[in-house]
Amino acid sequence: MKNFKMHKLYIAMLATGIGMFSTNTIAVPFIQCPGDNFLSDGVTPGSNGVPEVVDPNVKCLHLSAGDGFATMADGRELYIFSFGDITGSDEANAIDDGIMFANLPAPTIVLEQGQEVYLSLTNVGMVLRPDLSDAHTVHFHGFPNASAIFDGLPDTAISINLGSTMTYYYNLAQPGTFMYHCHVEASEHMQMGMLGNLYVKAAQNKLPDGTNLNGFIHNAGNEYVYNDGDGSTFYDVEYPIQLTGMDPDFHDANETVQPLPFANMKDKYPLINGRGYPDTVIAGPLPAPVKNGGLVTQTQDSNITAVQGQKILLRVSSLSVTRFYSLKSLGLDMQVVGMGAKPLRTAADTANPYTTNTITLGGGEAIDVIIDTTGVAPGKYFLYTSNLNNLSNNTEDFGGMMTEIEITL
Amino acid sequence: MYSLSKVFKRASLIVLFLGCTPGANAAIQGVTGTPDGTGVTFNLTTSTSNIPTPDGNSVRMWGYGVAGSPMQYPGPTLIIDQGTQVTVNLTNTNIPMKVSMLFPGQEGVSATGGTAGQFTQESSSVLGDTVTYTFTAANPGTYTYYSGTQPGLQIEMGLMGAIIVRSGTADQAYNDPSTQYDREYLFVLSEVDPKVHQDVEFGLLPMINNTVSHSTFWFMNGRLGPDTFFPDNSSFLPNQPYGSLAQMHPGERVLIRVVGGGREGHPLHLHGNNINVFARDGRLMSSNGVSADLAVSDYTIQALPGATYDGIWEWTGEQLGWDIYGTNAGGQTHDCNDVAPVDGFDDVTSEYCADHDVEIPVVLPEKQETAFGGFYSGSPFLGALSDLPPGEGGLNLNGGLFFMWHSHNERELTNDDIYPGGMMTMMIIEPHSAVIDPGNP
Amino acid sequence: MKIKSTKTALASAIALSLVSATFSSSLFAQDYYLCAKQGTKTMSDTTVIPMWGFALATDAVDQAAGCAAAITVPGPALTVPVGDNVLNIHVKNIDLPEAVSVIIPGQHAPMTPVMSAPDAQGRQRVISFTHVASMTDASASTYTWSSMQPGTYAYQSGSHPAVQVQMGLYGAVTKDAAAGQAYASASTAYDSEMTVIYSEIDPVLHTQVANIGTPNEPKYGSTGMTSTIDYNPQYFLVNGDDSSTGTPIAGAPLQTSLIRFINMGLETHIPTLHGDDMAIIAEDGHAYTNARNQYSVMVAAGQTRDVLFTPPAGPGDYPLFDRMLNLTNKTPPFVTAGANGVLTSPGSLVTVLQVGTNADTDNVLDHKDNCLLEVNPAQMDTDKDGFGNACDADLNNDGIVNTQDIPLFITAFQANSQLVDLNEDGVANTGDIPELIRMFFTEPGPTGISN
Repeated sequence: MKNFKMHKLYIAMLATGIGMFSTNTIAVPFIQCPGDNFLSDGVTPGSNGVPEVVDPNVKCLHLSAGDGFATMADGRELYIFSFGDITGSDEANAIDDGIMFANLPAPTIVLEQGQEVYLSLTNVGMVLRPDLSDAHTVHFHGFPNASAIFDGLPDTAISINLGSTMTYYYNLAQPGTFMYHCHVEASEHMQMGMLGNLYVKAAQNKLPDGTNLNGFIHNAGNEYVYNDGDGSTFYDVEYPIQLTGMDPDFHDANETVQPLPFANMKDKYPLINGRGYPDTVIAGPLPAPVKNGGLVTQTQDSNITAVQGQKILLRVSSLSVTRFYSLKSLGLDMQVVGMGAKPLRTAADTANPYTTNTITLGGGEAIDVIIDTTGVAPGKYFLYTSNLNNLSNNTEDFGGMMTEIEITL
Repeated sequence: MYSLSKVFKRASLIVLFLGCTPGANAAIQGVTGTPDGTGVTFNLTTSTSNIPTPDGNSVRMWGYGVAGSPMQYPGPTLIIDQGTQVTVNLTNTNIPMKVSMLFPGQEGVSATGGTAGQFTQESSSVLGDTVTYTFTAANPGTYTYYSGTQPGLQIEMGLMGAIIVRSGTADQAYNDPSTQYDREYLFVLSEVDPKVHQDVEFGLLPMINNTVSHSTFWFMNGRLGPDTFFPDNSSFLPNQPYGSLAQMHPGERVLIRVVGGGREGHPLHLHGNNINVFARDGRLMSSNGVSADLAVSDYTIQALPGATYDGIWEWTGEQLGWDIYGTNAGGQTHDCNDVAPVDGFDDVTSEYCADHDVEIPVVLPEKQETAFGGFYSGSPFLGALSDLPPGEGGLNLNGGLFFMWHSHNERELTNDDIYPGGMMTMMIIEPHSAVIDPGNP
Repeated sequence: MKIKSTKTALASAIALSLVSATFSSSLFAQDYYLCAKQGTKTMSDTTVIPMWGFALATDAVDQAAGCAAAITVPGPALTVPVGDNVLNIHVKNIDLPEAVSVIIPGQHAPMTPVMSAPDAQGRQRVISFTHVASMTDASASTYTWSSMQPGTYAYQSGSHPAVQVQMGLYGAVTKDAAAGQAYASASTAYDSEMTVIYSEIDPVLHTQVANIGTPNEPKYGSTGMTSTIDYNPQYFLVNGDDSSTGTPIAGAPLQTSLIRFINMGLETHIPTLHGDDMAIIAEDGHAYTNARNQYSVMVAAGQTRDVLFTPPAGPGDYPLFDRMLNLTNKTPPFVTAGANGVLTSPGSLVTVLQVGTNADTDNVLDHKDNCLLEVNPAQMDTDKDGFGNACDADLNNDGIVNTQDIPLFITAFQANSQLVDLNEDGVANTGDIPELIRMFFTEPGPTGISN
């Protein structure tokens, strides 16, 4: 969530200049969330996407889809499209709050197995591209046994027009590491940044204290990647690690309304969670891009820390639009416990992980990795692409797709 | 705004093929050879041809073909029964280099005739000679063949294809009951760097630098989206006979065979559900060599060049939390009869009974607030059709649910700088009432 | 392509451990002394590429003197004997303008990263994953792994890796779990082993890096490229060779070869075998619970993978090439048109594994040996009758070496014709006369070549 007040001021500035929105053409967003009975004026029932009647199995989210800027590690600000988290913004203000609020990566969505999710998407439009009236969608990538209507593929269902809101519904029957992105004009909207982490935590986490899982005693608070039944996917700390990249020429072409270079697309900013090294290890949000009027849009760091002996879960996903990336762990071994939101288990239902120091992902792939730090000397370790020329922030050396893992005593 | 369905709708043939679903795509297309007393013989030739691209241009290709028929991209799928002795006679018709074939995954391949090349015997169009390859298809599974002569250039030019070796058990991919299937589809993935093909066309063969790939076309079964949606043997694609549109009913087990035919890896993402991949390179993923006990479920297949993958894909819409067929009150009258076996699903339609008659939990946006896909029926419910504004939808005649299967390196959804296109197809979940293909139930 | 029989490997391991014992800091430690130096590599198109690499010193004294040996790329193959847990690599940076280091991904060692000074935003960047060896250092830097795990690994510079690995600072380091066995499981036993290291070269990058510290322009990092993002490999190498003419012997039928694949390129390569499967048993030095049977094996950038190859009965050739099809180098002609459509390929990331018996131990397998029982690795067959010169003094081709061949021998001898180069040393000279005598009244051959 952000400082909505500051934001409105900026939007007023921008919008008056461009004359894009006049208040009477935009419908009030229809934010659907069970138990939400927000009274905007104290009298008329409305909605803000936050239930007054709380059901622990219901999760409401509200995303904006629009444009904005993100800062690369060499200081360059790129024009982007993406989502912003405007959950809690009421129907009267949601569009204003979503304008120029594209986040990189898109807001990380953390869900729990068993939840019913009501995800409202409001298309707030592109402030810098008033000529574009693109629709948007949310594609919950990897959702099992999906329906078409909530799959987010514009060709096979519906996508939401500028100024309007659609609520997606997901019943979370299975845990795992997924991802989400816009699927409208996918090659363009995804290169432009409409990509985010999304994962579903396992129901096994909520077992009663002391439950015996085939010899592994579950303690309250324990967390597992999957409902493994044996504790084999237990972890102490978890980090989403999303591999993407950006082609500055493509983003500049989009900002300046030039033909988009698909054939020559090359990601010269290899990114982890929307940042190049060393911005990846800056804990918390990056400073707001200057061109974004002070709005903070890069909140997801990749600063991995653990106490010696802990198990680190990396939920690695790739939403690269252009290529495969290999990711290497130096000095720490990676145990691969799951892929594609499924645990690696044999037909006889025994854990079947494998150990490596290199994982390779194309776009749309996810790998769950556990790093056991037992016996690991305290210090700084590195997680980086072994496609070593991608240790670059465009023309800047010593950057790119790398982050650090700090092990302390 | 560009959209796939708008591009697609320009092709008038669309209604023709979606309108007559029976036979739209039968079993995997291919050739089974001629019995020769000891096994089967395939007489193949290699020749050159131009194939059209959806942008109205064309690309010079080299391809394998059945002798007497046009060359194909990819080459003819050779369908062979396990244990059969296979003879392939290869004659180079007019490719200005020697050509040959390699059969990864096949053991004991012998080659005679032609002249010795770097890897195997080769056929020259100047000499008009024929090379004969023989092997016994010892193991069932999905395989590939491709040129063993300067493969960096010749595979790029199109000299590759798929081989299917059928197990001794009908509708079972391997000799393991867990590989039983109701329906099967093959996807050969490849790509083209048009500069190389242009240089070949202009006779600049010695100067071609394809040390590294600079592809701008990405193919599925030798076609570029949206041509991938058209049926097998479409007359306007004479050298690209294989379509990629897939159809199924809920509850069916669909065998997906994937061949990395080109020189790049492609993350093949399957919308709709995970796939259980149980074989790689024509070998079961197995701890004991007998059963596929190390199968892996994923929503994206990391399809690497030269490799093959087999998996079972299923879809029922279970646990959606609402009735995918719509509620009886909503007009889609239907039952959920789960009698024998009691497994939570309707015995006939495979409807997930726990969600039966549960309303869709959200109100969909007003029509004027949304853009409609051409494959949208107007209704979120399987088997239902609903009114759409004029000019919208229209490509979904049975109320099926369409799921895109595509390369998730999304740059590859373009045809030489033009979006949309490239490496994509659709899987259509058809309502049980829709007849898909009587020949392949 | 390095091929060693287990026996040789064992012998050399023993020899090495004897040698190194002199310098060992502990009884069961294996010490290697390396120099990091500049050098060059001449490609098959005669282009000379500036390289950085490691050279193996014979001892600490040789190292202190700058290493008599030149660098090799890949660097010297390092082995750690079975039972040794400690590996010490001593590195002296002789003339590289950047500080270097050695890391072994997959092995565990305490590392002390070198970080840059904070920039204006307070950010620090890792310059080296561990402590460095600089040109200005008086003595060598030592890198110690005190719990070496068995398996196949790459050692490589951990400093400015985007540049230094590409420049050539890497090599293989291997350790077996037991004699002739790669990992703990007995199923990883092998009869012979080979290491296949893939790499790539971007000639522009190499040239610009070599220009650092010289008056030449442009220089990497200043007047030229300032990052490696536009890396554009144009040469593809197997074990440092960009022409891959080698046809290694992968052992005898039914014998198991361990192939240790190491990819030190910056892109994925996919060695694909034709004619048989491989059992993939490990990656990055970590053994799998169950081997994976495939004919193709993806080796990601910086990764190692071990496979076992057990060919079936009978001799055969098994083509093995990179299915990413990085199979040609940058210089035309890539294919050379011949009289009747014959074309040739320079070929790289290509090899053909040969399987068969080798009765005369000349490394030409029996099934293609034109003198089955004579050592003639040159395989000269001047009269092209299928019998190699070394077993063919039958100059009139009547099936027997007799007096009728003597005048032909003398004529050819006087004409310096290689027809009578019976010892296959390249010239017809007096050394060939005893060969003629030896073969007198015998039939030509035998050969292993049918027809």
